[in-house]
Amino acid sequence: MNKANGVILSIKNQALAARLSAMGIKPGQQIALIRKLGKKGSHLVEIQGKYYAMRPEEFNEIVIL
Amino acid sequence: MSKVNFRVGLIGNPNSGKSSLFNALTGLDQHVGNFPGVTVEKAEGKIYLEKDKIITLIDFPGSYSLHANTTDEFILTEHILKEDQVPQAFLYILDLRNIDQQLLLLTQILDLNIPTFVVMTNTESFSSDYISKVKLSFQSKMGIPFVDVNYRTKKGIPEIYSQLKNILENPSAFVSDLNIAIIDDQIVKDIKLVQQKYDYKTLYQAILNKHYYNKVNKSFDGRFPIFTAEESIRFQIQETLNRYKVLDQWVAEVTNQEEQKFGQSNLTKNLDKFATHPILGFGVFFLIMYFVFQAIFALASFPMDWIEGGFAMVNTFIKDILPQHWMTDLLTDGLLAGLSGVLVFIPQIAILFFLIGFLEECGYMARVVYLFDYLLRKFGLNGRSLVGLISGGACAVPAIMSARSIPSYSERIATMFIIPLIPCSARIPVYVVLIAFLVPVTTMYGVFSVQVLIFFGLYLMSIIVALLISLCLKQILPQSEVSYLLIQLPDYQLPYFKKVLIGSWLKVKSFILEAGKVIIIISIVLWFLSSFSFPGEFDKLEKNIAEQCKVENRTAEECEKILNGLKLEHSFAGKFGRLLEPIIKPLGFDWKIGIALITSFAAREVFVGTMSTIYQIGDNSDEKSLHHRLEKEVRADGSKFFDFKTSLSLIVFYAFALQCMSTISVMRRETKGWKWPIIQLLVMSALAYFSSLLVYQLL
Repeated sequence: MNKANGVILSIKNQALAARLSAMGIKPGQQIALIRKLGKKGSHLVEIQGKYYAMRPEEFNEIVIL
Repeated sequence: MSKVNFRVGLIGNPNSGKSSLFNALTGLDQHVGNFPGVTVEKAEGKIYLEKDKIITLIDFPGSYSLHANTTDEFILTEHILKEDQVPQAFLYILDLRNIDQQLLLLTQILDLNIPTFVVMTNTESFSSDYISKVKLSFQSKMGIPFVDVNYRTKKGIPEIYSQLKNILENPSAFVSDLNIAIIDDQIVKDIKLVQQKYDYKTLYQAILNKHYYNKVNKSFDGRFPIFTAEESIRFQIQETLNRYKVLDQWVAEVTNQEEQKFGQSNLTKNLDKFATHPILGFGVFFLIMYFVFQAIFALASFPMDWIEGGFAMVNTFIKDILPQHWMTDLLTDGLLAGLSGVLVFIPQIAILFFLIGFLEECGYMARVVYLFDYLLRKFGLNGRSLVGLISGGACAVPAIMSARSIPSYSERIATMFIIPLIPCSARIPVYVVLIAFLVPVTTMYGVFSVQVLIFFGLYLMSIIVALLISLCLKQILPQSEVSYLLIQLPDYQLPYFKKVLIGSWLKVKSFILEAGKVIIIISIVLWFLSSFSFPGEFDKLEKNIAEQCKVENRTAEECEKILNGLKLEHSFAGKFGRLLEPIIKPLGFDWKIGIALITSFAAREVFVGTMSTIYQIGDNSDEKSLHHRLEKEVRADGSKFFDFKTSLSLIVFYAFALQCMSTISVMRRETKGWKWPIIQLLVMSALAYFSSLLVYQLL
């Protein structure tokens, strides 16, 4: 189970890492899970103060310290 | 002096205010076309700097990076790598609120040595000191001009024009030799060889070719080894992070804690407490949708009455002043009747386009994607599919194109396949006419209009059927792994009304022109087919009726009515309808509806026009609306023709049948073949026929 708040340590999946980095999301940034639509539903995540929607399997690829 | 036409690409991240600038600069002087090769809508507008200097501004889909993830984003990369397509200059939109993540693409563009200047948008919430600090700092670092713009006060717009003039006259002054850390030195050595050998202008151009040469040039000529998939991802990450190392430092230099307003606004955070709530979020969505439908009915009713009344007046006026001649009939009963039947629905279509544009512009659609992703995935779709499904409520053609933002092939196909099942604006006229026969104009509990509720129910029915079909497709289509949601939720903002208005006007205009052309031709053909028959046939009828009237001692008026009815039945159109009647009789339809089914095969909105034409001819009363004429229609046994079950059967038929040439053609282009449009046509036709059969036989 991933931590909900903290700092991004790394991103396990490389293809996802490439997509996230293009959007300016990279290790070292603050991340917080704001809300989720159920366990398997979309996650609303705040990274560096901005809101992103992602799936749980995407969120779980982000290693949070 | 000859005319100079300079092509400038308008680029930037998604939601950076790109299209607002496009509209501010080009106004109504724009048209929507397709990018060559791929079929994605592209908007081009003209800017006349001086009478011999024209700039064609091309609005590219928003992109975060030249390393694209979707077909939509790849358009920019593709244009850059194809020498015959690359614009001569770029105008880069930088949303000041997101400066920390919007510079990546800019540095990539600058590394290609293409003349560029930057326009900073969303400057309203920043102090002028901060804006000029950012401007000066980045101008000196990047070596290209930065302009700040405010759409509400129009500040900066004149400066953009003058910079466009400068870029046209002296493009080299807009090129920067910024080369911020790209990738490994070792790799660079190899790439430099490729650059020299193939004469690429910059090192970065060679790098992009190592990534995408085979994707851009469909037949790879093996000129140099391109990156493997694994290498490509690795170098993408490396490049992006290296660029950010420099950019983060640059951004930190100009921002301090007080000025840092990069985060989501408080308004957005508060609104999102409701809009993204696991329960309330869906409530908000359905409430908004209900208001959209309510608006379509309530607001549109006044202009609709004016249009209908206006056409009736013109019709009577023409009949009064022109002599009784077949040309007059063609003009009034053919052309005007057909046109008014469709033009009367323009207010509803305009309102629908406007409201969908409004929801998109204010940032709500991204929340809808978030809300529905999980649910839609169960049906083999993606949260992004919902944008297409909602836009499909206006028109399936742009909606099918919008599916290009969906990364997975199977989800994209499923979305495009079911979009035509969502009731589009062309079905509204058909529904409106027929719903009136299902229920009278009443309200429930004094608030909810019953007709609006039925309308809503029809949408619900279509959505359920669409989802069921998608579920079947999920079992058939191979599920690819590249499905993802990851989407940024932009701040809520009040849309620029002018932009939404221009957007809806352009869509309505193309609807009028496209549909209008078809309707005029079909109306004329239909008028001919329903006014003429084989030589001598009408003479025989006239003679028979005259004799019959004499025997039965009828008035001239009665005889005329009987004769007109018989003439229609024996006309060419009547013969076609009769030919079709055995097939459609089990659905409750007669030969008159058969004619309408044939004519509306190419475009379903023609139905109302056809019905207007057919019933106008068979009727010499002075009633204005089609509804009244249809209400008087009776079966042989004297019962009302348009009773509950026939009307419902017809509605169901129109809900499911794929009667739209444009949809078929856009499907063929988007899926690059005939397979999917043909399957779609067959499935939807069968669905329409058997559902209607079921409705009529069981009720």
